[in-house]
Amino acid sequence: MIFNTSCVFCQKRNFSSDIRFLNYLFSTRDYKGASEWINFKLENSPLSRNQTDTLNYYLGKSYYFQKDFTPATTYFNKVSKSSGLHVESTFYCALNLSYMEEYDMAEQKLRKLTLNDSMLFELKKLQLAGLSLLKRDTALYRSFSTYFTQKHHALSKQEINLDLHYNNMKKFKKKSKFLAGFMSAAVPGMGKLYTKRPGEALATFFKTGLIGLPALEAYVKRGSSDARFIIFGSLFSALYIANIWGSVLSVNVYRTELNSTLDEKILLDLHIPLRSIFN
Amino acid sequence: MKKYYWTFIFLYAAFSTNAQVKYADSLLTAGYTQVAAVEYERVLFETQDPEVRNEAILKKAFCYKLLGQYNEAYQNLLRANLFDENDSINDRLRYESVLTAFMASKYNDSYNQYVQFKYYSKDTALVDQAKVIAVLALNEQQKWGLASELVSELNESYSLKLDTAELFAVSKRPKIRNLKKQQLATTFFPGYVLVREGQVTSGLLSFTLKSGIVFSTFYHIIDKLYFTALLSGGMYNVFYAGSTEHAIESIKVNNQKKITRFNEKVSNSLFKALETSNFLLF
Repeated sequence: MIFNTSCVFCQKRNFSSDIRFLNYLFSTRDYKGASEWINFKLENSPLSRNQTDTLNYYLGKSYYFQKDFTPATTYFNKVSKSSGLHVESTFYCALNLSYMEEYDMAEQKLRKLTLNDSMLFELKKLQLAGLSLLKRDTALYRSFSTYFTQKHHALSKQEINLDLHYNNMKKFKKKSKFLAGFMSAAVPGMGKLYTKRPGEALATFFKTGLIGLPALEAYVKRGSSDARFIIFGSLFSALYIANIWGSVLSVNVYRTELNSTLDEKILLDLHIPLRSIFN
Repeated sequence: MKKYYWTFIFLYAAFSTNAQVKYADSLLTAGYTQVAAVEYERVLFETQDPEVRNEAILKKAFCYKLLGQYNEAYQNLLRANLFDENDSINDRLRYESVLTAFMASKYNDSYNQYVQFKYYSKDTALVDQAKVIAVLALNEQQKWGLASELVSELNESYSLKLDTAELFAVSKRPKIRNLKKQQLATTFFPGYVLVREGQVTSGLLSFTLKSGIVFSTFYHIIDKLYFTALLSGGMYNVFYAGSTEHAIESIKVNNQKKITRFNEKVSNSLFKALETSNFLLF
């Protein structure tokens, strides 16, 4: 098919109507459609610098909502300093970098930001405080949290939440791999109970017992040369060792789960104020 | 597959006189399908004229069909305002609803849309095309009685020379196995269901293992090794659950194969008859 380019480029619409439409697409959560449409617009329409900045901001946001953080960061970075959307883009860019676990880069981005507005200044401190929690740097968190005033409605809830995460973080007791292994050696499944997995602990206890008891029974009633004792005894030994090793590994799983849950909560508390302030 | 016969039907829809739709049309023609879909959405955002809106909805559905997003196409078509009976585009919207619901594997919706289309439309040729889709949708739902009625109607209208009674004869319909009955059979006759479903090795293995475990359980009870007997019993339970699940899965797969085979036979006969008749097959 012959592509009549002149027709495609002939559309001259008011840019503000484009933005109204983009906002509509965002409200219907058609982020994929929005990103396709903006990309096409950027490639095929003659745009002023300011318009390009605006579209780059919306493009970054559409990728951000699709959780496609790499292109989102790229497009937020493209918004020039002269643009009215530079501040918003920088905040979103830093949050993207946080999702990508590029905490130092996110911090640098935020630190470079000069803000006169008191709410935005406090938002910056909140984001920096959240970042320090993500880095598990509690001393740094304390230095940023001193700026929390809880006077701004859009920030107060998240300031309280971050303080809560900080307090929880302090309360976390490190689980010992040795203790988990030792407990499972004493009573099969106890190590899993120690890492707060009661269901798994009970299952391990019964599984080990179900194999261990016939082995014991065969030994008591038929002696050590009985084939059943040898088979069940070997199975029991393998299961017993696996139970200890499983408990040691469950400490790692426990740590990872705890950390990722906490990270998710912190990131959500960093995301919410951006949505409420810049929507 | 017959299902994909219709994918590109009506993509040649006439270009609009509305400037906004025209712009989206040009994008669609140029191959920017996704962007065109967004531009049709923009028409919906900016226009209140129901005729223009319906046109945009129809064309947005074409875009989704081209992108293979049939469910999105169907959901989009549900937004159309079909209350204005004079709108010439209504028939196409209704037809596309039947088609896209079928393509999205929403067979019940597809048939329901056909019923509405038949009730509201005066375009018998287009309704008959939708009827063919409705037959396939009914077949997928194993509603062969209803499907045979529709095929009979087509048979009469287009002199298809199809022996509908023979095609849909109850004796020729796939015999679908009842899952509950089969589960019961597996319980009392271990491995039997699997052997009958063609998995002889699995069936025999299941029978041998289960029998061995039952024997071991009783043997150890008699031998007064109660914990060993308990373990054997526990193992039976594990094997029972596993093999029953396996047997049920096999039945499900075989049931589906039988249904597909029968439906393909019906649709092949129907399409063959339609091709040789004066029915306009797209």
